[in-house]
Formats: sequence, C-alpha cells, structure tokens
Amino acid sequence: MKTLVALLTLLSLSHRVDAQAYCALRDPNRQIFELFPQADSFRSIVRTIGEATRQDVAERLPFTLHFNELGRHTVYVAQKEGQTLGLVHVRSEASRWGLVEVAWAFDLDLRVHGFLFQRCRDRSKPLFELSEVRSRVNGKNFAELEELLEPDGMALRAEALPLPERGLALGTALVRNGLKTIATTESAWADDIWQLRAESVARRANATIREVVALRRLYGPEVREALTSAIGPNGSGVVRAESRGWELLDERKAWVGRLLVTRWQHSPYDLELYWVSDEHGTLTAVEVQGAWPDPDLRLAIESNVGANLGAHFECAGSVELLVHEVLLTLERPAPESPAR
Amino acid sequence: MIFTNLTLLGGALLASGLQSTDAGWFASWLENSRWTIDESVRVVVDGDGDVATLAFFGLDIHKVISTKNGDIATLVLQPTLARVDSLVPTPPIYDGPDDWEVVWRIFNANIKLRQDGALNLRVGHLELPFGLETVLDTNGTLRQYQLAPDFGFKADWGLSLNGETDDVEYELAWTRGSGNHYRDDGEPGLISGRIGTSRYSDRIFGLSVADGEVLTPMGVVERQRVGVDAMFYRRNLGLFTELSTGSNGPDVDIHRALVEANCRNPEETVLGWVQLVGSDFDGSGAGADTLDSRLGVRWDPAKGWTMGVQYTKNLQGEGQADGAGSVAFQLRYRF
Repeated sequence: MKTLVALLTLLSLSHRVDAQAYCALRDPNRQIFELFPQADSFRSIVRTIGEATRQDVAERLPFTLHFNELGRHTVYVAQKEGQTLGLVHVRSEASRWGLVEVAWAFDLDLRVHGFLFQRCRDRSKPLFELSEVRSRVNGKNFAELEELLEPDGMALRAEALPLPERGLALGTALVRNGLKTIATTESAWADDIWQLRAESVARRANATIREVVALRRLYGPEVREALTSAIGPNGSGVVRAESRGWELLDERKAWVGRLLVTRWQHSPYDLELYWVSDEHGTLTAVEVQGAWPDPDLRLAIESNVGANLGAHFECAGSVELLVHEVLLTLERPAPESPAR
Repeated sequence: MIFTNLTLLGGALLASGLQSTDAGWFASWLENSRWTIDESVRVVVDGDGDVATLAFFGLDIHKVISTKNGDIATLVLQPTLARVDSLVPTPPIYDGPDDWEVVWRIFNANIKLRQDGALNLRVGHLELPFGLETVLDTNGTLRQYQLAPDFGFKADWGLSLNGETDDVEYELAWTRGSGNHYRDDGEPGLISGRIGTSRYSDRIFGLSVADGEVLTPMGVVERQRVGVDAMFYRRNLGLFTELSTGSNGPDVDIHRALVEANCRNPEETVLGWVQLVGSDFDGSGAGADTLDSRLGVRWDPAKGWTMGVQYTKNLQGEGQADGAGSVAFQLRYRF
C-alpha cells in the first residue's frame, strides 16, 4: 500500500518536470556569499512553480512566466549563526543573446538587497556594475521596481536607469526579471516567507526563542465568541482571514509566548503588524511589515507594549480596538504540545 | 569537519526515515526534492542502412538534505533501464548488440565539507572530472565530447573532492576504473581531476589530468591523459575546444583534438552544433588516425520534450572516409 501511495505521489508530481537533467543543477554558492558577505551558511527551500503561480504573476504584471520556467525551483536562505540574513533566488530571462540568469538577493520584505548576473552573454553587462545603476535597483520593492517600466512592461521608462542606448535591452530584461522573481517568490514560497519573517521577529523580541511553530487554527469557537462580544460586528479593521499565529518555544522547548500577524485595514492605513506576547499574554513587541507610515501611528501602537487583558484599558479609539482584538486572539491556554 | 558533516548527514538521513511513520516517511523525503521520469528513444541509421535502436527509461532524482543550520548534502540519483537492439559497434557497457542493462548514469551524494562550497566530498557513481564534459551536461543527449572515447565510460564508482571559489572550480576523483558496474577484477583504479575557471564566465579554461588503469573487455589497461579545454561565448555563439594527449597502455600514444562551434536561439530552445574530432595514434598496435565530423540540432518544442538529430561522418581513417556517414535521431520526454 505504501508503495502504491509512493507511486501515486510520484506520478502526481509529473507536471512539475524540469527540462534540465538534475545532474546539471548547481547551487549558486559564489553568488550567495557575494550577495551576503557576512553569511556563514545557506539552506535550500525547494518549491513548485506551477500554474497557480503563473496566474498569480499574470495578475500582477503585464507579462508572466514562460511554461519552461515552471517546475521545481530553489530559494536559498542566507544565514549567519542560524539567523536569516535574506533570500537568494536565481531566475532566467530570455534576451537577444540567450538566457540571462540573475541571482537576486532580497530582504524578508522582498526588497532588493542586491543582484548579480550569474550568466549573461550581453556585452553591455559591465554597465550594470556601476553604482549609479545598482543604486536605482537596490532597496526597491515590487511597486517601486514596477515604476521603472512602461505600463506595458516592454521597456524602461525614460531615465529609469542611467544607461546608454546599448544597455536598455538588458536593463529592461533585468527589471522584468526582478519583478517576476519577487512575484514568483511571494506566490510559491509564501508560507516559507511568513515562517522566516515570524522567526526573525520572534528572535528580535526574545533572543532565547529557538522554535517558532505555526498554529494550525487561530480562530477557534471561544476566540470567535470573545471577539464578537468584545469587538462588535463592525470589527477592528483586522482582516481575520489573513491572520497567522505561531507558538514560541525556547531552547528547552518550553513555551514562552505567541506571535500573531494581522493585516489591519483602517483608512488610510493597510498594514501587516507582528505582535509578540509572552507566556502571561502580555504584549512584548510589535513590528510593522516594511516601514511605519507615520510616527504618530507608530507611537500609538507601540505604546501598547506591556498591555494585557488583565490590565483593562479603554477602547477609546481604533488603535485600542485593534490591540484589544490582538490580545483576545493571543489569549488562550498554554499549549500542552505545540502543533508541528 | 568531515566527520561532523558525515555525522550530520547520517543523522539527517536517519531522522528523515525514522522520525515519522507511513506517509510521513515519504513526505519527508519529498521535501526539497525533485523527481522526474526521463524517457528517450534513439534510432541510429548507418551508411549501409542498418538500423540500431536505443531506449532509455530512467528516474532523475535530486534531493537536498538540510537542517535549520544549512544544507548538508545533495543527492543526484539517475538509475536508468536501457534497451539496445542491433547496436554495432557495441559499447562495452552492453553484453551484446541486443541487451537490457541498468545504467547508473549519475548516482551520488555530494556532501558539503564547507558551507561556502569551496570543499565538498562526492561519493557514489560520478562523472569523471575531465575535459568539457565537466562543464556541460551531455547525459542522455546526442551531443557528446571525449570522455567515453578516452576512458571507455563517462561515470565511475568512487569519490571526489570538489568545490568552487570566486574564480576557480575543481574536482579531483579516485574511482574504481570499472565504469557502470563496480568491479575490482585486476584492481583497476583511476585518478582524474580538472581545475578550471568559473563556468559562468564568457571565457572558460580548464586543465585536466587522469592516470590509472581501467577495466576493459580485454582486461585492465593503463590510461594516462593530460588535457586542456576552453569555451568561448560571444552573443549566441559558442566556440569550444578540447585537446588531450596521453596513452592507452605502454604501446599506444594518443593525441586528440576536438573543436565545436554552436549557436542557440534567444530562448535557448534550439541548439545547433558542428564538431570536428581528430585522433592521432602512435605506436605498435595503434589504429589508424581518424577525423570525424558531427553536425547536430536539438529542439525543445514543448515543456519536457526534446528532439534531436545528429549526422556523423568519418572523414579519415577506419576505411570509411568515403562512406555516407550515420544519422542518429532522438526523442526525449521528461515527465
């Protein structure tokens, strides 16, 4: 029976074929350590880029992945002493003189940390070593990179990159490739990125945390009931369908708290917020994905660090309502054995 | 460091197998893996109209073994069932012109001894690190270089140290010298190695050496080779060369030169190549000098599918210079 299951599973992978024989695959060792010089190791995460990812990319861009780009692919997590520094993802792009392979480095917000041409036969490649060009690409997120291209995605906008005429074709290929790589990573490696972000936030909040274990069910009946009763029908702006939670364990595998990620939509804000609580349910840290949109909001939210349900506070405004919802969601019995 | 990594690898393998039961065992093996079935059919028609067929049905498995602290090893496993009919001349891997054979194309673990990739230990059935083949993947393709003619096989059982730094990559191997099957009759053994510049450059240079004894149908025969290879890319054109000199046993000196020009389309779904291979034999019992030409095209018409055709004509030697040459067709499907 197990053999049959194994065979069926194997066959179910049939659409994930890669055209290249696997003996030809090589890790981009040199590129990883050049993009993250402080790294001391890396680890591979292999996932399937399938039709769903292709659709996701097509919804965000005026172009999408070629069918030859589907299959099993690797994102590399650059690490130092076990802590994540960022991601490296190598993707290819058709160009006039053959495929260009670009090794992209991203931080966990998927902003460009750096890039290297792993393989490029275009004679204009040296132009992209110039700091004036690199500085226009590095640090950009998806939306900012997208602004470098014309709306149809077929060419760079005028003055987008300081390139002479002979470098524009490769520049266009580079930016298209970067956008495709970010969109692909966010789609096919979504769960992995959430996990890496959660581990990173948790360890910043509490250096003793060693394991960050995803909660399979965030909103049980009790939590739903408590939220309905306390928050009311209009909600707090938290998009509960997008919330995620984790149990936090220290090196002795003792439970030391929880981490909650909430998407908060409250005009004019639309933020991903990370909330860390300790084993007593007290908020110990809060972070935002990306940058805070304004310092007053940051102050208003961060001033709730130290709050818990035991020390009742007034739900006077939208931030207080948000924090109340977060505390209610985090509040639950300590796990006997965290779901793994 | 070596023992630490071997211990970690063993632990990871055991953990992945023992930590779970039933479906969990297989699921844990699927993690960070790629699996593909690789099928191909090849038809070779020689100048006399005789037809030989080769069929391959293989698995292609790639598995990265990792811990939270980093990757430990990569497994590449390519067991292939081969069927040949009317294959004349018959490569030594087959028992006769009509034969079934299990071919261990590549079947090894590459264990990381340094995380930066500068030092790895490869164990199993590995491709000999010699010449252009080290850089180019030709397993299961019509386009071939000089590894099989030089040593009688392309891959052998053994181990190697390999790695890459900023500008240099290298591999140094000790292998059994028996090719597809591990056989120690007559105690063959081969040391081979190549050091070269980065394969990602537009100009790639390599120096290869090999010394030892290989098992052939005539028994154990000494092989020595020194070779240099170079690859130049400009736009969508490639120009490759491989020059080698050495001996087959005490009485035969051999010098070979290969030159290839190739061209590909922007999507790299079409590749065309022209090769010229000259072999110069000196010494008693040596065969005639030969000059072979090959003209081939490979096309990937759809995902997983590859079609190829190669025309081979002997221009000098073996009494076939006036023959019509041979044509090989191949259809390959990975699914």
